[in-house]
Amino acid sequence: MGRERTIITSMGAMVLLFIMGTARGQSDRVDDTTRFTFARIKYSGPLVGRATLFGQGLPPWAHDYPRGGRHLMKIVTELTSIEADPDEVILTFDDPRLFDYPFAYLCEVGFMQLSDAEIKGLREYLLRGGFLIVDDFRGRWALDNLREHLHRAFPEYELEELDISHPIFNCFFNIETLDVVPPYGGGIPKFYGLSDAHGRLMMVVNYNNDISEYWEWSDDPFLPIEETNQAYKFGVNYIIYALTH
Amino acid sequence: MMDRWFEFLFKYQPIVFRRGEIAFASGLSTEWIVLLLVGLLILAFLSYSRTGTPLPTRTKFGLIALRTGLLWMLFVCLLQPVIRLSVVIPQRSFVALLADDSQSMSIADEADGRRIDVVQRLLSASSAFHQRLNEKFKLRLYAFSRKARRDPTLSLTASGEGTDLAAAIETALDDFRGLPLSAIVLMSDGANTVNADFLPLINTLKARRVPLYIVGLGRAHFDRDIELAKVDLPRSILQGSTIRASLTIKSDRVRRARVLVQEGERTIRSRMVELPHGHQVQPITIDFTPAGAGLKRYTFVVEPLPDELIDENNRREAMVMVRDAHPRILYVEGEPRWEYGKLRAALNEEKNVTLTSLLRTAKNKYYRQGVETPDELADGFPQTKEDLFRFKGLILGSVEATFFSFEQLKNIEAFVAERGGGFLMLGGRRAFSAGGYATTPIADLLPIYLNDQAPAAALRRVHPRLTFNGTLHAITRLSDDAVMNAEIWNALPAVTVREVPSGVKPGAIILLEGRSDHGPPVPLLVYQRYGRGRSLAFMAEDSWRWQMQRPFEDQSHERFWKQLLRYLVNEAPDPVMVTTDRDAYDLGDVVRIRADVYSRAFHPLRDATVTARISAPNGRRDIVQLEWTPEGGGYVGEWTSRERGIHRLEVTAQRQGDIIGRAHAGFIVGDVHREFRDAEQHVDFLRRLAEETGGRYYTSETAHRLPEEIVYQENAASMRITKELWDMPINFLVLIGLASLEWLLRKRHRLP
Repeated sequence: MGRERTIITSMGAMVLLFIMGTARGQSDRVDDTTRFTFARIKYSGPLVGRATLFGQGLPPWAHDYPRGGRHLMKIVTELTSIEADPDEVILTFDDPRLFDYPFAYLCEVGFMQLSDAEIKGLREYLLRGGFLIVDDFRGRWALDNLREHLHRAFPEYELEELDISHPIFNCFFNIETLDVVPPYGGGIPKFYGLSDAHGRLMMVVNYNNDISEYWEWSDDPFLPIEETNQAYKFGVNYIIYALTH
Repeated sequence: MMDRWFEFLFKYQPIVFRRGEIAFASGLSTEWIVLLLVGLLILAFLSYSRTGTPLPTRTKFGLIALRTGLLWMLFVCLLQPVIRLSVVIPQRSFVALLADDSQSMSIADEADGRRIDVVQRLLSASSAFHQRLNEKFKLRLYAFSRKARRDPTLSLTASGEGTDLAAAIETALDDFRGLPLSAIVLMSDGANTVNADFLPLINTLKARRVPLYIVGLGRAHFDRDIELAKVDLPRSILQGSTIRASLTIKSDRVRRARVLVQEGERTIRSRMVELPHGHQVQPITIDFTPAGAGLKRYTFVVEPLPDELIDENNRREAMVMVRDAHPRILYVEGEPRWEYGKLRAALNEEKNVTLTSLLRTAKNKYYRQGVETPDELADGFPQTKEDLFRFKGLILGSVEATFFSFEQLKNIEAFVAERGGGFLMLGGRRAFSAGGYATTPIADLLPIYLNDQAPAAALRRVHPRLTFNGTLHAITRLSDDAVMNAEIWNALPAVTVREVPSGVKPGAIILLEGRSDHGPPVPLLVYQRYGRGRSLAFMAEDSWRWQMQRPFEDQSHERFWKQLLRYLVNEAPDPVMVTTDRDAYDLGDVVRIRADVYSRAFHPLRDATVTARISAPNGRRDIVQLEWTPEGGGYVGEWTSRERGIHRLEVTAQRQGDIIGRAHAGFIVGDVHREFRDAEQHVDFLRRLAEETGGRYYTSETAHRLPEEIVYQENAASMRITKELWDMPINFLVLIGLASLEWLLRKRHRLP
């Protein structure tokens, strides 16, 4: 009995040592986080619950998730030399992990209500070199809500309307017109941008538009192919611009 | 003191024995001498063979030995020992007396005043030194500094701005061609300010049998003096770059000193430095950034001590050409990635270095940034050396070797080896071994060894840490304060490396290494010189985390990349380059100008017309035509400084009527105070010089013996003399000693 116990104890110790050794040998090895990864910004606000009734029961910050981002990543991997991660990460502006992902997506900003910590995080994120797409919102009230938040984060900068001559519209695809057709809604789409002191665009705003909607339904005849292609061109260009500026 | 005792015991000075030959005047042959010595030995033995009292064997042999010694000593004296040697015939030959009249002779480090005072005292008409020499020789007096001049009255002022010992001795030798010159007496501190090869001179002196008798003046070590012995800093630098000046401070017993750096008249740095006790030479570094472009004059000053011996050696001047140039770096990247964009963004405020990039955004689709013309790089990576060599730096990112043709890879190797460009490879999925570079010319170029097999995709997260070399290097200097610099690096986020090199090449230097909790450190930033250029490997592929994961006010990422890229191109040559042999000259110094001229493919051009224009402070311009020299391959010329102040130098190279290029440099003519640098007495040098030529070295204390000793030499104006040795006091002392010992021993054993 005593001998058996000794054998079992010895084997247990060997197994433990093996596990510890394996763990030790691999502990400085990490997953490939150098791949391009899309970060979706999560936020809260008093209207978020009400807005959840729309958009397939998802909160407003998650509209078009996950198919929109996943389809865009597939297209980016196919068309460009970028090695993209198909899965997006979901983070808040005040989450320090956000700084691992310099490219982020934010939608339905009319329902957004950011805390001071989130405002601080937004400012840091963009000034350090992060890039933000603001998409899928419409109406003056929503744009004003965005402006109000941006004014808190960047009192020194203003949103400015972009025209077709901006490099973001020709850094990969030569986009010929900004007169685009939104997937729904009656407003006229406009493109705004927020630039830093060096002229680098930190944020592109697709006002009265939802290009992510096109990405989401691109594998379905639900939306026309021409507009879908155009939406992908914008998406790819935004990524290339963010990676090169 | 020793010499006095010697003379008391041996009747004559040591030099008599050194120079003379001992002989016996009795005329007895060697056979007879040996026979008689043996006979005396037997006599001594017999005298103790039968003693009334029995003696122990040891005592008996002791007594025999003492008696033998006594008899032999008497016998040697009876043989009439003499010493024969040559001595100069009075007033039949000359002695050239060379007195150092340079500025260093004004240093007051002799026991009773300045070095020059000792010379004047020794050579005054009333001094015994002078009179004794004058009795034996016809004296001819010279004063010398850079050149020697005959000076019968020897009016010394210690004002010469240089010392050329060899030239002074050669002048004296030339003067005495055909005349009997017995010796040269040199009075100097040996602080030569001219590079000279003394070997031919020593051979000439030996051949002409002219020994050097040297009186060395001054102390070999200073107690209360700090000397700014050396200042090293780049002669030319890109505007906005930080200069690291390396200063060498010499002091024996001084503990701390304040060092100032002045740009023009403005003090830009002031630092107290500790000088460890007993460390004669202390290296320190000071960093500063020039304000604006152009020719800058820097003065480095070590604040003098209250009672410092020499103030003049506490400062040095240097000229730096701050170039408002815009060297271009070509960055080739195989995939859009954060490292690319963030590296470009780091240069947002960089005004000089221009980054031109070729980014492969998709297969056969490129995005060009920073191009000068719409067509530049439209066909991809430059096909010819000429097109590639327009850039001064080259960065390869995550782009595989097969992206380039073999010819292009060879051109990249030549870009560094021949053109002198800077090369940097960044970590990435398609870089280093993973990029298939192991069997390409790039493998020769890199400072690390590559693996033939692409490494398994095992990523490691490592923290950047400075190596010892990293703490000193301009690239990794994120703060001018060394402690703070290390703290900044320790606070930077971890980065990812995909490949651990199998080794670092000999001569390569690791500036940064990556550390993790497990495993040995891995090289992160390595550099080496390669051919005329430099090559760096940065193994990390996400240094952008240093930007994204630090507060946006933190400039570490920007500063690191700006410094790295400046370092990459800072020394990359232009087609026309000009330098002078120094950057600070004394009035009357010869300025040696050298220009290098290259074609667009950076082949040396030998048939160019190269003209140097030197602009003096008063507006006068001199033109010097530079001539090709096979020595080191370049165009050289000389110009003599005639005016104090900053001089500007412009070199223009032309070929077949076309201007190849222009280059600029500058130098200062002023008070270099060369005489007060390294101004201690060079005792070893002077002693060797004297002994090699058959002469002797004296100090100011022993100089009085020189007139007695200088006469013992063999030449055309000397005669042989014989001096008796039998009556040396030492002989009698030995005799008395031996007799006394024998008597004592006999008494002890009750012998009569």
